[in-house]
Amino acid sequence: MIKETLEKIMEISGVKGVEAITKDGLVIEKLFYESETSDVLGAMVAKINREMEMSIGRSTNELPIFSTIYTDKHEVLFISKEKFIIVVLAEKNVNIGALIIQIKSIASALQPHI
Amino acid sequence: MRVDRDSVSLLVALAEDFYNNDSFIESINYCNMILSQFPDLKDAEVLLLKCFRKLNDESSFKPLLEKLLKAYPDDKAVLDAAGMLQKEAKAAEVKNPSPAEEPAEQKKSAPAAEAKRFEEPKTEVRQDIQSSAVLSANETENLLDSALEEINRINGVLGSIIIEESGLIIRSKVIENLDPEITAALFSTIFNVSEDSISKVNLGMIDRVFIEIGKVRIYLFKGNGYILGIFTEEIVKIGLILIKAKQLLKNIKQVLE
Repeated sequence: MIKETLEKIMEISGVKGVEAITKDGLVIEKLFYESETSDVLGAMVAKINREMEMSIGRSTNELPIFSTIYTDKHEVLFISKEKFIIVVLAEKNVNIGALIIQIKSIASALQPHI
Repeated sequence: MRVDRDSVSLLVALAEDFYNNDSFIESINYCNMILSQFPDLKDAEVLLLKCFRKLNDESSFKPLLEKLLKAYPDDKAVLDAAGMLQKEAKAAEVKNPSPAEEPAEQKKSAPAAEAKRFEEPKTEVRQDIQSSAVLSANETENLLDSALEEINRINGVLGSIIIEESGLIIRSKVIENLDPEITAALFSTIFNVSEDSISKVNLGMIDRVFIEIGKVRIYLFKGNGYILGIFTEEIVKIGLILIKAKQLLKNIKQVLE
């Protein structure tokens, strides 16, 4: 169920991978073209998210934190809900607007299942 | 490309950005695109005039100047552009007295005195930065303040701040109920942790970080040793923020580096 839902994000052109992780960085489900990146990325995103929550407040299902990190090679997007985080790694040429909408909708859809 | 009434001001702003960054050809292209659909849009025409002047394209400059002087004889912007030309022409005449009396005569007939009036007081920030090698503390503060104020004028922007990467405030203009010290520490922490983590995954160097929480947005842009942070409401137009932030980073770079 979670895998099928995450696959909808993978359908967007330019997306290199998506994963759902716990707030501690443990992988719940992942779909990555290059699997070696995914574990480290998940752990790193969990760390960034923890710092953000310490600074701006804990994310909840009603008030999630959505972040986008733009680097010179990639774009890392993640949404932090109460119990999980969805992380997406995308190329620079991705349609970022469409991707953001899809991530938000997928996160809401996954909420009751995690 | 089709230009509608709502986007025309944004396009003029873009053209101005190009002009300010010395990309005169790009600016001319944008002005021409705007004028193809709104032929008498003064802002675009004045900008086009300035571009022609910068490129020393007299054949395009003169007819446009005449048209503008006819349409807006007492307009500050038009006179400003015309006055600058006269100043340059005069300087050129002094250096190199031209045999052709006719153009000089024409230029003299234009309202030179009025034009001069608009030249002097409006010293542009960019010119100040370039002309003086070392800026005093007050000058730096004023330049940074005016840069931050400009971005704060965008609808929906709650405040902006320039901080050193370690979290020390360089300059801030944030709303009253936000503590600049805490804001600076928060931005610095988020940015440093993100940078550290992303480099460990070999995903490249961070350029910017956007965070959405509830109805507040935080935009962090990386400069060379400093971070520009912008707080906004949900309604803000992100594209405009991006354009302005890039422009602002260039200005900050000139001041701080």
